[in-house]
Amino acid sequence: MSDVIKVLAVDDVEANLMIIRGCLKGDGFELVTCTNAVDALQKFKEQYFDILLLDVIMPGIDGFELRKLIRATDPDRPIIFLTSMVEDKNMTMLNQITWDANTYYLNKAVGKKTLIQKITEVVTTYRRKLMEHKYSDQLEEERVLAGDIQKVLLPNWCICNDELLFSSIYVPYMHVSGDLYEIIPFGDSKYLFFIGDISGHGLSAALYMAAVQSWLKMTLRDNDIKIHDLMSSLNRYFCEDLRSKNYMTALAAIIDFKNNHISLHSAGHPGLIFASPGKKTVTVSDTKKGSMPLGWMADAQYPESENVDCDFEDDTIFVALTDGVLDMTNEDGQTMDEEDLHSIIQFQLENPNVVALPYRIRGIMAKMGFDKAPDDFTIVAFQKRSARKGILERVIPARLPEVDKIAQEFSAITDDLRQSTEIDLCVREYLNNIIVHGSHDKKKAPDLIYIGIGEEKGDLVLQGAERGGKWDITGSRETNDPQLFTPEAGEKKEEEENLFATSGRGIQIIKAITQYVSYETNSGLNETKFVFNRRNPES
Amino acid sequence: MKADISAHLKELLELEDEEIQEFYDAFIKEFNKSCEELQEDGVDADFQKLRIITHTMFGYCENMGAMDLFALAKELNAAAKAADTPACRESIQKIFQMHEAYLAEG
Repeated sequence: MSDVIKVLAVDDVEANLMIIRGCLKGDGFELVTCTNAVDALQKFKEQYFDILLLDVIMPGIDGFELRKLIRATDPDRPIIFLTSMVEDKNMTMLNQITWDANTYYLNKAVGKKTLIQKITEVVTTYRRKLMEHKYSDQLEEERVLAGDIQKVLLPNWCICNDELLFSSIYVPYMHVSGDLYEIIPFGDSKYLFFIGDISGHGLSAALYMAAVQSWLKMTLRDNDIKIHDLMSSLNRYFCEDLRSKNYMTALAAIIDFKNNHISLHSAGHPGLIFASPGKKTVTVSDTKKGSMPLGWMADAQYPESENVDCDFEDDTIFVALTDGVLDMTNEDGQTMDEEDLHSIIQFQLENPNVVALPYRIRGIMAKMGFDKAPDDFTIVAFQKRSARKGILERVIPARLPEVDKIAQEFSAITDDLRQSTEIDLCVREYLNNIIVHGSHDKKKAPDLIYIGIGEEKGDLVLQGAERGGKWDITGSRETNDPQLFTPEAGEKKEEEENLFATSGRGIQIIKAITQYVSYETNSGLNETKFVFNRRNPES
Repeated sequence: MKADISAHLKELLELEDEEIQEFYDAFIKEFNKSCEELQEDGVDADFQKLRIITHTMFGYCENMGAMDLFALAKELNAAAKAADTPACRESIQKIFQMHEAYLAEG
C-alpha cells in the first residue's frame, strides 16, 4: 500500500469538484472525480480508492443511494459526505449519514486544512484496520496449520497391532490444542502411555506439545526407564530447556502387556480409569497419589513413592482423559460429576467397543446436555489385544488397494465356501462404499478404517468404524425394509447419489446375506455393523 | 462579489491571482445554470424543486465564498420551505439581479 491516498470525489457541480481538486492538489493525494453516481460506480469497480468524497444531493442516483450500492460489496471503505445541509440542523439527514460506522461528514466549505486532516485521519485508521485484519487472517491461517500439524504429530486415532487396540477422540478448543497423548512401544510388549494437558490453547501450547512429544520419543531409547524418573526428567526439560511459562498436567504409565502390569505416575492429571466387563470401573491414581504438575519447579522431585503399581486383567479397558472432558458444561454452566462419567463407561461395558468408546462417551455427554466445550477435549481408550480372542481386526488406510487385501484375509477365516464368499462380498461392499463415498468430498473422506470380524452371541458379525462423512447403508429408497435400518435416515437424500457407487447392487447383496445392518454416528465416528445370516449346518 | 470570491479562494486554496479566474468562471457557469432552472420554473416552480436548487447553490456558494448569493439562496430556501409564493418570487428576482451584477463584473 503506497503512502499516496487515492480519493474518488463525486459531485454533480463541477465548481465543487474544482475546489476539492484545489484542496488536494500536490503530493500525497491522487484524485479521480465524477459528476454522477453511475460513472463513480464504474470507477470504483475499476480502481482502488482509499476513500470516497460524496455529495448528498445529485440528480439520478443520490449520494445515499450510491453509498448503498458501494456497501453491497464493500462494507468498510471510508466515505465522507461533503454537504452544506448539515448546517440546517437536519437531524434526519445527519442520522442518514452517520448510521454507517465508516461514513463521516464535513461541511462543504470546510477549508483545505480540515479536509486534508480529516481524509488523512480516516484513511490512516482504515489502513490500520486493513493491516490488522490481514495480520489476524494470517495468524488464523497459521493457527489452522499448527492445528493440522498437531494432528499429524499425534498417534493415529485408531491403532491395532499384535498387542493392543487403541482409540482416541481429540477435539482442540480452537484449532490448536494444549492436549497431547502418546502410546509408544519400547520393546518386550512394553508401552509408554502418556497423556498431558499444557496450560493454554494457543500456538505456544502447540509448540510445547510438539517439543514434549519429540522428547518422549527420544527418551524412550532407554527401555529401563522408571516412570517417576521420566517425569522428573521431563519436568527439568520443561522448566530448563523449554524455559516454559506454561505448565503441564500429565499422566504417564509404563504398561507391560506380557505381565499385565502397569506402573503409572500422575502429575496433577486426572487418573487412569480401569474398566472391565462385569466389574465396577475404578480410577487409579486419582487423588491418593501423585505429584505437582510439570513446569512448576525445575528441581521438583517426582518420587517413586508416588508411582502407582498394579496388575490388570486381560480384558481391562483403560480410559484416560484430559481436564477438558470434565470441564464440559451444560446450558446452566454445570459440569459433569466424575461419577457420571464412570456410569457412562460402565454402561458401555455391557457391549464393549474399545474403538467406539471415546466417541460414544462424548456422544452420551452431549445427549446429557454437556456439550459446551471451554477447553480441549481428549479421551483415549485401549485394551490388550489378547483379550479380543476370536476377533480378526485391522486398521487400514482408506485406500482402494487395501480392499482386496482385507477381503481376502477376512474371507479366509472360514472353510465354508458360501460363508467365505459372503464375507468377501460384504467386506468389499462396505469398504468400497466408505472409500469411494469419501473420495467424492475430500473433507468427508475418512483417514483410517477400523474393520473387525468375529462371533457375537452366536452370530458372525462384521464391524467397521471410520470418521468420514455420514453415509446411508440402506442405499436405496427401500428404507422401510424391516431388516435394514438407519438412525441417520434423514441424511439419506443428500448422500443417495453416491451410494454403492462401485457396484450399484451392493444393497441387494448385503440384504441377501445379512440378518440386519446397523449404522450409527457418535461425535463424528460412524459405526457400521453387519450381522450375517446364520448358517444352516446341513447346507 | 468577485473580490470576495477571490479573497476566499486565496485563503482557502492558496491560489495565485491568475488561477482565480478559472474558478470564478466555474462559479459563474453554475450560477447561470441555477438561474436557468429558476427561470424555467419561474413563479410556478414547486417548492420542493426550489429547495433542491437552493441546496445546490449553498454548496458552490459556500465553496467559492459567494456569501452574498448564499444569503439569497438561504432566503429563497426558507420561503420555499414555508410555501410562501410571494416571498419566493421576491427572492428569485433578487437572485436574478445579483446574477446580472456578477456577470457585469466578468
